[in-house]
Amino acid sequence: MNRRFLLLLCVLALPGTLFAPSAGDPNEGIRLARTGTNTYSLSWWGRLGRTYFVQHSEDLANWIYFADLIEPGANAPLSYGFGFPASPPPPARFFLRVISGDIPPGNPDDLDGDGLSNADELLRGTDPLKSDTDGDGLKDGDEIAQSRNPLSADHPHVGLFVFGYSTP
Amino acid sequence: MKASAPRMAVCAVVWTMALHLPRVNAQQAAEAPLPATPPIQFQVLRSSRIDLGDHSILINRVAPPNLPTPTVPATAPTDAEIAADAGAEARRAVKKGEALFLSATVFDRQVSELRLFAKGRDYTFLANIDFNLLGGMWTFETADTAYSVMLAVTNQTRSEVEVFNEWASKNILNKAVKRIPAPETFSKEGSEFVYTAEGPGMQPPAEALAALDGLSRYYDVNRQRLADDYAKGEAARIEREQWLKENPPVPQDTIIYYWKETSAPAPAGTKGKP
Repeated sequence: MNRRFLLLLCVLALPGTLFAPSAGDPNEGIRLARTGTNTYSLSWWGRLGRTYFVQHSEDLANWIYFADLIEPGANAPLSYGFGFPASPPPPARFFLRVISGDIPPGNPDDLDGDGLSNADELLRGTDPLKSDTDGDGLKDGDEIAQSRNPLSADHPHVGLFVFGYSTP
Repeated sequence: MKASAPRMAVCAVVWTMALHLPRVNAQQAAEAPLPATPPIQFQVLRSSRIDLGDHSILINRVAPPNLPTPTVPATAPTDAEIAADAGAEARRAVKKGEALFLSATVFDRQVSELRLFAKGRDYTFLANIDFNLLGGMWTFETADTAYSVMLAVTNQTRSEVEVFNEWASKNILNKAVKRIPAPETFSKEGSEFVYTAEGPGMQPPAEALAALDGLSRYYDVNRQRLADDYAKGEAARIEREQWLKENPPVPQDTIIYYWKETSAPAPAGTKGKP
């Protein structure tokens, strides 16, 4: 199945500022606008046929999905506000990343085809764009069905070796 | 970036952006006026807490607050905007896009060993270019091609190479394994690439050589600006390192509020294109 994933990134190097998209910007026109002392607006062009998720990170290494943020593109702008309270103070740096995937034929609610819906994956902490989040060889949906943990590679790897020989 | 490029390649582009945007932001933030807004009372709809070991993040989905400053949703460029940018559009129409995968080891900020990945294999060049100066570049254009650059840069000194060569000559190959030419052996007219593995079937693809030719010209034309930008970035980095040394960060919990903003309808004339 041909699936393409697109990652768009905005950086909130607090205090942040405005990114102005230019005409023909290929990155979905994504921009980040400061709307108040500790509030920001992240907006992008939601293309028909794509589904969008947003992740956040404080260190660019660990990315966390916003658990209920799934947006189907409809050839219309998509926009989310983000804010921090005055106390505790906002983190020194905060990163946002918009990820989108092509909606595959079949079940549009399960982009990676692992048997778990996108929403279910966000709630469980698995990756809606990765069919085997923990990389243990079992699909996330199969792990849930077998009462295994899809976030832990607890599945024992089984190797199959085939030896062959021929007699003269 | 070609649409068919592998996912990892897309990630690499994003990573490069992330490394350099904060510097731009810091500069722009100093110039941006700060909107004066009263404290906002958020109405929390759902909460989840993520434990990161030394601190936690509390994520609150909230009802859209009544912000004094209305937010502006993203809009795709209109036909009028695209027409106004006809020059750029025309350039895009005739130029093909290519991705350039590079990694460079810079020796004493003078000579670099450049590895270029093309058509399934690596080609190694030596160049009188300090690729540190190109660390912030992710695109450049030639007359007919727009290149997206994925460049990783590391640094080594000649003395480090000599120590390794000495060790390798005794333990591995019985000879020195790496020779770094002196800067004087390169052209004095400008930047120069020297391919290091000539031989039958080893010739780099013509497209790769054309890309390096374009990169060479870009470097020569922009060298002073690149050097100035790099110096400014290094000064800012050293200043920040010093500041962090004097003010070591104390892990603290973070609270994030987020909400869906009301989007404006698609502007007329956009035809669904960003």
